[in-house]
Amino acid sequence: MNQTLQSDHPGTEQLSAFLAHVLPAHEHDLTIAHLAKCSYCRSIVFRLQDISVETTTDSMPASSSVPWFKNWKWIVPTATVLSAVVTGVFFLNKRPTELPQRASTVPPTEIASTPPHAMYPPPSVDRIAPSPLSNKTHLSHNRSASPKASSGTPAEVGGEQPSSSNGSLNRPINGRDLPTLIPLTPNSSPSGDSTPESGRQPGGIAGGAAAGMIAPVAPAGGSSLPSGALVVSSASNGTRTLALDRQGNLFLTSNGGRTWQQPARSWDGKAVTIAFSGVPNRTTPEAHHGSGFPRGRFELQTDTGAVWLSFDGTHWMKKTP
Amino acid sequence: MGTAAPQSGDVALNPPAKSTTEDTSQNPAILEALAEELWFAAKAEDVGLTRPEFIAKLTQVGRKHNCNQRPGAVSTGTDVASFFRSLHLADLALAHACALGQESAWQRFIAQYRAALTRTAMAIAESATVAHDLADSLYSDLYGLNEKDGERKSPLESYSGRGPLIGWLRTALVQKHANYQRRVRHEVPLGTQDIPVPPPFEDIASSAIGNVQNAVVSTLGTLSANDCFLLVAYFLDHRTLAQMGQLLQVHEATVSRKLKRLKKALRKRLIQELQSTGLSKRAAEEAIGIDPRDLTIDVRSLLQSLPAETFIGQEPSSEQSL
Repeated sequence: MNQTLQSDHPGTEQLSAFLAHVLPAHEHDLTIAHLAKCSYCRSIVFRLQDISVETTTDSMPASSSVPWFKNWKWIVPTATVLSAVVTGVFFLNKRPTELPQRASTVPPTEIASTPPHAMYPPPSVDRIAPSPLSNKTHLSHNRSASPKASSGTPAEVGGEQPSSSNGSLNRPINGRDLPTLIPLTPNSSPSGDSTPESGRQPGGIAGGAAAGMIAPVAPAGGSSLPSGALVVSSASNGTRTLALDRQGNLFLTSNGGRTWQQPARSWDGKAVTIAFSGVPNRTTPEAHHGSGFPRGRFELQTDTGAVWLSFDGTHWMKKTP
Repeated sequence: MGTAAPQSGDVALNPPAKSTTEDTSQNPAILEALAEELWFAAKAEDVGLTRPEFIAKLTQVGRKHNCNQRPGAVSTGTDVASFFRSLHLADLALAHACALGQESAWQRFIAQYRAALTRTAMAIAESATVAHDLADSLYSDLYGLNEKDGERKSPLESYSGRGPLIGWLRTALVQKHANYQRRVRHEVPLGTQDIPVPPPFEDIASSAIGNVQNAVVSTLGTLSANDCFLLVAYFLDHRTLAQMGQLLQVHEATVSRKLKRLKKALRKRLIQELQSTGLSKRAAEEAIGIDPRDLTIDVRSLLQSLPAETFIGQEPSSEQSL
């Protein structure tokens, strides 16, 4: 049998070259013809084929044997990064077009040193502050928001006085105003101090002060109005904050939301908006003749259209036309 | 590697006879340049080969395979150059140096192929012990411990470099294991062997059966080698379409289509054969519907009768006795 094998079967050279697909055509045909007749060589060829696959698979690194898209461990990080990128791109694109934001005129150092309790949301009538390039938009918005705003002083209009520090007060928070952003909840937490800890109020709003943003009363994390209702409007002169809930109740705080008082109700109807027009207390005294007292007034508008004025938020008088 | 200048008389890359003298690539200067190129590509010096030894080996390989041309065909200079450039020159140099018994070559061989051969042996053999025995015995064979006529002869001498050396080694290993299994197969107890089926009764129309048998034999006898290979690999060896496709370098769907077409053609040819004996078409179709167990044809042996032609250039060397 060995003699037969030696004379008739393809040798190691032929078989290995056949498996490597390097045989010339005539030798390939000859090998196929022999394989068709010889189960012995056929078994060797198919065994070699299996071994080549096995040993190649064994010697390959594990990472290259699995396609990248089948590696499920990357799904969560990839999804996280993608969502972060999409969110970032969305806000970067939306913010300047939909809610124009006035450039801050307050020096960064001044904003950083401002106590958190002094950083309040802008009056609702001036909620949307224009950029110097979008005065038209600003005016039309104010006209629709409040009939009074367009006829007010430049300080009242807000956007008309680019050098005024009031502009920074009117600036919305990250492009969003307070009432729509944060509903106040019960158990107000102190935010009147200026310690670094106070800058880490839950909700991250007070933390925005360091970035030059105006902080609200910071009701998140437990601070709320005594009525428990949502805030629809709020205003501050730097030392006092007035907040209006959905039922039209007005509340006053002078300690950053720790305690609230309800001023005597002098107006008729339901109060719908509260605003502050003027210069808040947190600006430099030199800029306001050294007085340090807030130059401005609170304005409260009722559902009947009447406007009530107050300098301290407690005593109100009706504005005469 | 040194930059030894070509020595005169080194160039012996002449293809086996009948070279056309008109071919400019047969110019000795060009052949010398080719030899120089192959010598540097093989890095044969690193394994202890001298330039004449390497060139002589190349010449032998060229003669053995006629530079991949059909036997008796004339090889042009381009054929010669492309053949030699297609060789795995580094592997060829290493194998030849090992066959010559160069110590440095054997060290490199062991370092390079020991792990791969052990892995292959593990994949072949049923146990680790058998695998290590197999690999070790292959080393001794490759070293040429089996002397013939008092002369050490290494099977590595038959390696031509047309495929990678690792493929050659794997083939040698599998052949060795297959030979081993053929030897020990005779040790299987007789009780486990199948008892042959007794011949059927002669109550069936024996003439019809005889006609079908003759038709089957003549039909299968006309099969081409490729068709025959497809049939035996699929129906007798039960190989998968993917395995066959990989071997033939075609897609498994192609193999499937070929098989389907082949079966259809075989049936048609069988009916034609039966019709040629005087049967009508309907009678022929009924005849091939008889129970196959009534037939006494050994299809396996019919398909696998050894071919008349043997392998050209196949030296009955020691590689077959691995």
